[in-house]
Amino acid sequence: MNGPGHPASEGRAPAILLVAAAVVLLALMPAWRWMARPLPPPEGYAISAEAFSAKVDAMTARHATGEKTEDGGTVVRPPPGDVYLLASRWRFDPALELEVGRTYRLHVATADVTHGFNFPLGGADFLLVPGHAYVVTLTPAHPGDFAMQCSEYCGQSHSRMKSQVRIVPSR
Amino acid sequence: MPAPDSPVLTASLRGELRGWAALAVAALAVAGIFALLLAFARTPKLQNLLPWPWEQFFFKALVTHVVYSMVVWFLGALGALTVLSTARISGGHPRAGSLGPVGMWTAVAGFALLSTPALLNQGEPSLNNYVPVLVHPLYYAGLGLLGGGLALGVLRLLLNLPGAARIEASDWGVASAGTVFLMALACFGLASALIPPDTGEAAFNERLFWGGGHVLQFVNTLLAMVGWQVLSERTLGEPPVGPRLFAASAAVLVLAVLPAPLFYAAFDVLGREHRDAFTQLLWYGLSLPPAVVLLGALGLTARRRSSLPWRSPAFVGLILSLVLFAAGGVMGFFLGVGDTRTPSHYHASLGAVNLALMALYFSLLLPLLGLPARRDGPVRWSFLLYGVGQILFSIGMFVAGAAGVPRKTAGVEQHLDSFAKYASMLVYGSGGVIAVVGGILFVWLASARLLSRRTP
Ligand SMILES: [Cu+2]
Repeated sequence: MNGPGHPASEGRAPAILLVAAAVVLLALMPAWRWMARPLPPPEGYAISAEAFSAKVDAMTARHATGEKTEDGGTVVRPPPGDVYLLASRWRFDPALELEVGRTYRLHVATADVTHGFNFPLGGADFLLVPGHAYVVTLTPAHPGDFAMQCSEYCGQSHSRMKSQVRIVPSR
Repeated sequence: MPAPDSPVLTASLRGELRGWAALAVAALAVAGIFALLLAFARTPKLQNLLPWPWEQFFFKALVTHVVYSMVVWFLGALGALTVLSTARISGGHPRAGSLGPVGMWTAVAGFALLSTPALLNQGEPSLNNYVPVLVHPLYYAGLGLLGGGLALGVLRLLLNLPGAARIEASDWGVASAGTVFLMALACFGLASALIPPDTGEAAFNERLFWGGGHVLQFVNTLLAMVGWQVLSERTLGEPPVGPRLFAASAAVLVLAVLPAPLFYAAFDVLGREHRDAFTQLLWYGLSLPPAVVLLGALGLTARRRSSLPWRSPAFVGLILSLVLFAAGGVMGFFLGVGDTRTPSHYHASLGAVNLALMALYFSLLLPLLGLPARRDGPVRWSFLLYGVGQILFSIGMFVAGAAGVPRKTAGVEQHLDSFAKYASMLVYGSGGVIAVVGGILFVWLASARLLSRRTP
């Protein structure tokens, strides 16, 4: 690897050490394992954007608290069980309020293009591909506001595509 | 006074070098002009003076600014360094010599096409990662010509490696950067072939430039490493690491990107694994080699601390580049968190690459063209302003991100929180302004020198 102008033995050990360390680091990369065994897809099912929107609207109509968020989102406090969240350029609707200690099955889908659903509270980070809904099961342990954001570039205001789930003490 | 290792520059190679050097600094000038237009478009009365509706123009100007400052400038610098290395290893008479001028003029044509859509207020802006786009045929054609032109120069360098009498460590670095650049082009090509044509605009551009964009970060890192090696040799009389360790560091970065095309075969180009595989390639492949050279350089400056040449612009550029890169490395551990800590890493690291290249420009490129700076003072000031500004900017951005993380605090603590946020925004804003002043000064000094007559 060295030019002929340099003595043959000078600095050989650190160079070999560096190459070995780099090879080990690269070998540890999880992507190699995925080549043999791809990541399991998130639990999901096929559904049209219209049918999914209808479910979101029905839930919103029944369980809206009457409050609005700063960005004009409707605050909804659904009972435990199936809850619905619609991603669209560039928002998540509605703004959910969930209770501590209850178990929810959060269905998420996109109304338009592919978005990314990054929601650390639900341990979720996957792509929302049009035509599919994905399900995240969660049982919140603590009250607070928990962020979600789009994690796949989806257009001009992608970086502002953020929302929160509010976890409140159970009644 | 030419350095003992200065390459043999024939008139033809000198013309190529001048072309690439001009292209690089012109890229920064265009980026600066569009940055000013961005400021115009945001300022209430001034915005009406623009010939187009400012709301539409804003994102177009942003795309053009980013692509010239983050892509074209780096590639122009790589083009210039490629000419230098080719001249040096071939003794001034490279094999396949005509590839050089053809490549250089192809890239110049690409440069011109790339800025046309924005000036005509054409094309939908897409602010996707790495290479933002104006969706317009001329823009893609410009990118293609720029990349293809540089590829020709790189190919000529690689063709001249076998049988070369003497290859310096920095030439291995440049040849490695060129090889990695060719890998990035291969990724762009694979992506464009594999993405289904009916994919939406946002996803298409994001995934077209995702893999190759990651690989380009290896090119940028190699450019910084070459800069540290050369600047340290020139200002301290000794490189940060021995030639063999440097060549190994560069080779490791080439090794790391070799599997990149495999990702296109293994994973769906629109899927999540594809996205994460390239993110991991940066994590696992890009951290070690620059750290080795960086630590070598910091160790060397620590040993020489009593006799450091603080009056030398090249040394000031070197030390600020090292500090910024180290800061960026620390910030890199917070990559992926959804606040301003992620961009703070990119700003610090790319600022470090910029500084290394700015210092090389004045200590290597311009002197070889017979155009050394007339006075050191203004050059040193431009590096100092740019470097200190970038340090403040990225640290402020990092702290703002850390302070803005949703935390459950109440009462007094919450006020402290927002104070930290406010103070950090102030540091971040003023740092940005200082860095811009340094950048403008650099472009002014470099282009004035480039356009002047040779000093006899
Ligand atoms: Cu989105």
